[in-house]
Amino acid sequence: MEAHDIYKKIQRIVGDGDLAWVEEERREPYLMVPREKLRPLAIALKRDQDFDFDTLMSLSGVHQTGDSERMEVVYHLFSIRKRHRFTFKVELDRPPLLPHFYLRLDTVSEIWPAAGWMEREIYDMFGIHFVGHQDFRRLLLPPDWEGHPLLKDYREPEAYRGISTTREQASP
Amino acid sequence: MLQVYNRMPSEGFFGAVFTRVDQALNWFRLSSVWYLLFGLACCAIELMQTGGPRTDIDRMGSLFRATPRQSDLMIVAGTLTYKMASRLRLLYDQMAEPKYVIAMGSCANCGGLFQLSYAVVKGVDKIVPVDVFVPGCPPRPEALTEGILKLQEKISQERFLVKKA
Repeated sequence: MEAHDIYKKIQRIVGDGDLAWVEEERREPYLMVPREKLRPLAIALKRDQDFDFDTLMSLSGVHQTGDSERMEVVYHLFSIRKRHRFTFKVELDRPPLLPHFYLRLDTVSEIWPAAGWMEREIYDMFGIHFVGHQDFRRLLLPPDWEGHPLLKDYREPEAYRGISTTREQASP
Repeated sequence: MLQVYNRMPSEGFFGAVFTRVDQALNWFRLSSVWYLLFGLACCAIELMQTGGPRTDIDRMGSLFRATPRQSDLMIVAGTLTYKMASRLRLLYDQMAEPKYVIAMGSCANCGGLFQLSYAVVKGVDKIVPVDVFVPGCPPRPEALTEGILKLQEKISQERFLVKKA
């Protein structure tokens, strides 16, 4: 199926409310999904025989700054049997006060097990919590790390476990 | 360092070596600098080449060991991250005295190409004391061989038996 046909069928299954289909030149078209619709949509994309999306190719996070600050989580799907692909995004607000209360999203790790590590990596880098994940902790950085380094407002601390993070000039 | 007498047996002198004890100790030590296999990044490939037949550092007595307990030298070959730093310190602490460290390549020296990264230690001398810094990205096997020769020079001048003030 073409991406637009997939979108048309998603509209019939999940309902039209709040879905936004974005098609731009020289970019892969994608669907903006509100966070409440994520799980029904993911289940439909996995189970429906016309979609048959058995592979979650990529799951990544984006921190947008500029006119409006927001976070995005991007899902790239591929069907090995049907040989078609589909992209959708979930947008999250990041208010300056208590952002970790708002950066929450349902997990898809039991629908696509490949999401397990990728969701942990997104938490590691952006601090987005995935609710319902079986083993939710940092993936790459040490467990006592402070902050989430791919956020635009991340500042490197002076030291980590007593190791200074700057290179001093050698004394002459 | 050594005075070797090895005349013909017919002259009534079968052969003798005269030296000082600490110099002999240094000679034994520098002739068997066994290094720990500790490759962290692409420098490890050059480290393997250095141990390989073309730039054979076995002829200087250096041999790789897979355990810190049998190693005299740690060659930190590659980019060190903060997560790996505690492991590096643990391996260094497990080595028996006397022990030496060579920082191989720009990453181990100062963070190198990745020194602006949030996760990379800006030089392994923040974690363990370093005896020889080998520059290069990565250093050629000849450069690392030179580093080991410099380390042998350093070992040959040590005075283990002299009481320290």
